Amino acid sequence: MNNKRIFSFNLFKQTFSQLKSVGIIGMIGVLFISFTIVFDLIQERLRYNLGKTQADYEYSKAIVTGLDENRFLVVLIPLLVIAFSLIVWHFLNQRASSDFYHSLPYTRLALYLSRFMAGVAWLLLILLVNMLVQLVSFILYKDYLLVDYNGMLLMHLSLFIYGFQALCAFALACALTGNIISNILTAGIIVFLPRFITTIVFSFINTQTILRVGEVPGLLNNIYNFDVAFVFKFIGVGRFDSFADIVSNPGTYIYSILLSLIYLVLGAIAFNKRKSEYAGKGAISRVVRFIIRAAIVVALNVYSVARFINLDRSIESFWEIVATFLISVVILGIYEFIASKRVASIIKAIPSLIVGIVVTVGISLCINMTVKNINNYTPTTDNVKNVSISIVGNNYSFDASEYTGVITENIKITNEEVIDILIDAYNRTKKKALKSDTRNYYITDEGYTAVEVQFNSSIIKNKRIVWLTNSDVENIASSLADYKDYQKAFDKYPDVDEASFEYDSVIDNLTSTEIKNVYQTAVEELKVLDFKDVYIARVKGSSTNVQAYFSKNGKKYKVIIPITQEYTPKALALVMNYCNEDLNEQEEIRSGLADILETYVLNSDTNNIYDEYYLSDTSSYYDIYFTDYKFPANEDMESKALYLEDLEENDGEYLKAIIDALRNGNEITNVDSDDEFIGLNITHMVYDSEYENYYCDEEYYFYVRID
Amino acid sequence: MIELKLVSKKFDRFQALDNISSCINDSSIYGMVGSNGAGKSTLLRILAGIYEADEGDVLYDGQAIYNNPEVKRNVVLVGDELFFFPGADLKRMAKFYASVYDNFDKDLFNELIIDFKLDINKNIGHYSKGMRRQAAIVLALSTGANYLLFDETFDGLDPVVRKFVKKKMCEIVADKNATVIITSHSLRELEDICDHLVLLHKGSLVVDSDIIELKTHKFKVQIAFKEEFDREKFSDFDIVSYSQRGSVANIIINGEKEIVVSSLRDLNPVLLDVLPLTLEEIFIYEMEKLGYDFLEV
Repeated sequence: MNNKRIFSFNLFKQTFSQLKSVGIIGMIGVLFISFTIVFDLIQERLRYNLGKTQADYEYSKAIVTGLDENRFLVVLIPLLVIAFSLIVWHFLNQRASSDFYHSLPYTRLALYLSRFMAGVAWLLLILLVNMLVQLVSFILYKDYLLVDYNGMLLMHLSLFIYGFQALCAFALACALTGNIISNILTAGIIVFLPRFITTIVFSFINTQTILRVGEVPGLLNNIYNFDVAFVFKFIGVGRFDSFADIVSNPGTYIYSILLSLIYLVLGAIAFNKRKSEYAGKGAISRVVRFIIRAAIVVALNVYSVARFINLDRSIESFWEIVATFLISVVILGIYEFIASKRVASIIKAIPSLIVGIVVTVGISLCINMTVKNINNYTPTTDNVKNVSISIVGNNYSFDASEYTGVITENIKITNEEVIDILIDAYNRTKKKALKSDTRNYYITDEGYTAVEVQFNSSIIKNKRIVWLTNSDVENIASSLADYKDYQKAFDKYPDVDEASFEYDSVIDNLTSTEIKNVYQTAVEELKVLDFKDVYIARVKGSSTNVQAYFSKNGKKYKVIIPITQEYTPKALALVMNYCNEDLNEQEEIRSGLADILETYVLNSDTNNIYDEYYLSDTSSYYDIYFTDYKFPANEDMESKALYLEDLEENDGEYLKAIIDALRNGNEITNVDSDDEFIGLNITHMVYDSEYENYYCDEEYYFYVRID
Repeated sequence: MIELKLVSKKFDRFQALDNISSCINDSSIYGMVGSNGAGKSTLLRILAGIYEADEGDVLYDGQAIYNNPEVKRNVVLVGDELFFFPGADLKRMAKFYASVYDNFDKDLFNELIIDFKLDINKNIGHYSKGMRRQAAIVLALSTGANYLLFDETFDGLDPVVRKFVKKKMCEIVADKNATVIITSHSLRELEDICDHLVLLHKGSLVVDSDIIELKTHKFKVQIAFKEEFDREKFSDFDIVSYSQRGSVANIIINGEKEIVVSSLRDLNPVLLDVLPLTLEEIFIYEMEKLGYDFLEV
């Protein structure tokens, strides 16, 4: 295609060739890092397979989500984009080159698109080569890896859009400005400033609102913008669950592509209007320059001003505002001087400085109003049309999304009884939160389970943390009997061969095969239960859980299977006996553990409420704690924390029973989940003077039947 | 033919060009002279379609050039500040020009690089200033464009090369009916090759004239009479400049040379010498006539 009005292949080719050096260096760099990561991954698996090392929690095969292995590209792509863009658009910054290109027989549009596409082509080429190399490597070692090929494809696609969006933003920035510093500043402002402001706004809202789930509503959520989401996630600005959340969100693709095209079209319009004589100047018009200056002021001052108005009105915060203001003045001065090359021009920046400060104060006041509005929200039967509930509760963690909760949060529940329970529970939780002035309300008091509930009115959605009592959970479970979709979500468990497992506490003692057996047994037990029981078991959770991790479309999920006597007794019995198997055969160790308990717990006058028992000096100590227990005599014990001092009750009756069991071995053989039992973990920690730290020398998990 | 119709251009508050109108005939060499900041380069950039005129039109055979590839493919510019791709040699540049200009003449290019003794495989960045300019000229001449625009092109060229370039410009006009538009701040640089000359001053066109007409219609006479006389004696003539010392008058006259001389003879002078005028003298007198001080211009 050599249509000189829209696109010129010759110009594209020439620009592609101009980018050759950076492109080849970039490709070598990307492949080198990529190869290193893949090599390490495979080597680790090979070593593990040979029994040389043990993985932290993953068994049998490593999960290759396609994301973790390419996270480095989040850093490399911006570097490549900056280099490509500066080379592609540098001609606009110098008169000779600007004149040269503008004198060529192409339309402005053809010049713009042809050069732009050369950068895109290099980006695409680098990512394609990287993907192919990884793909071949993974196929070669497929016996050691669980590869999510969809995830890999999605990650590369998202990285391409990530780079494409940045290239588009740079094209717009370069079309609007005429020197390198303005190019970079403006590109940064275009990509990040709006989202930087919304992130600051919502970070203040999140820290000051009560029980609100820290989510940013709709398109204001940074997750929709690949550039912002990836970069902010990487540098730790704002809150994201994971890269997987970004990559697996279809809205992010649509939004980012549309935004990129808007940048590209605006860039084309600006490029078309742009005069060649603006080469080397700060911006293509006074208005654009004014906006850039005001944007710089807002970017530099919004945090300090918003903090002062909304959070901390101390003198230190005031001085922080003064400092950022002075920094703004200096940066504007430098910007003006570089743009106009005249010191006298610096004074022209004053009006934009004032406007920038006014906008900043306006944003800060809006935050204040929003926080008040959110905190005043009270759900009632009149303003709540339906609700949705996700299982987060006591199993809350950031490492992977809880799969069942991801499904259920999209199911709208209109059952009035459920709505009433949740409204009451929310109002009760709010009172507790206000009383204790606590914001992080995921970690509950005993007897409560935290869930995320979205109260939906006709228009507005309010997602809040709600503490449920055991009876709330049971009543909700009963009321959800008619919600087949909701029930189906609780029936979805990953296939044992497609998952990687984590097991609370006793991971090192269970082999890959054993943990798979436990998982499969627990799943089979859950599948035959009524929905109500499954719901209660899953929502309330347990102190012992099997977490099955799996990757779907690039997103890492987990399903948490509670191992309890009540709902999954066979699985619990398996866990106990797998743990005890080795110990049964090693009398010497059992005897040693009995001595430890006797010496450091039973006959100890001190530390009896602590679970760390130091030896005669501080060179080593024993860390002793409960893994699980069951006392049918006291039904409430299951929901209470158990301390070692509890063992010493009744003249140390339980402790003596454990010591006896270890000495004779009978009570740790064939432990059944119907038995009364206590699970213990004893770890011997030894001080390493070289590293000035304690390390785990020996560790034992076992379950003792208490008759 | 290129028509400039009331072309104006402003940079912020600076009026670079003010209502410029002129006509550039095909197969001619059109020279623009003027001091620094007169607007020559700006006008040339407008002619090359790099700048867009704020007001007025620039038409190539009736078609506007700005953002119009159809017209631009027949126009090539050698700017005062040259540009080559970073690290490029002449071969790569030629390849690019050949891909851009449909009529790029490879034979002529090969011929010219031999004539100019340019190393085609050497990084142009390593050329001397003069060689870089020669390279730009070679590329421009090879494009096959009908309109070749040169901005201060003779700067940095030694007299031999300068003469050779002029020769090549003349050849391309004569052989290929091309039109060359060339700027210079030195009138002497252009007077021997241009068909048409314009003088720009502070964005305005001060002089716009055909060289032959300038040279044939303006001439200097030394004339003396037995009787006393003054300027009134020549009131029937179009006098550009008049000075008298004693009984001898030096007059610059505008008009058909033979007719004017014949008419002067009819006045029975005791002395009548017709002297040749340099182009610079013509410009000085023209501008004086318009009220400008040439030295200031």
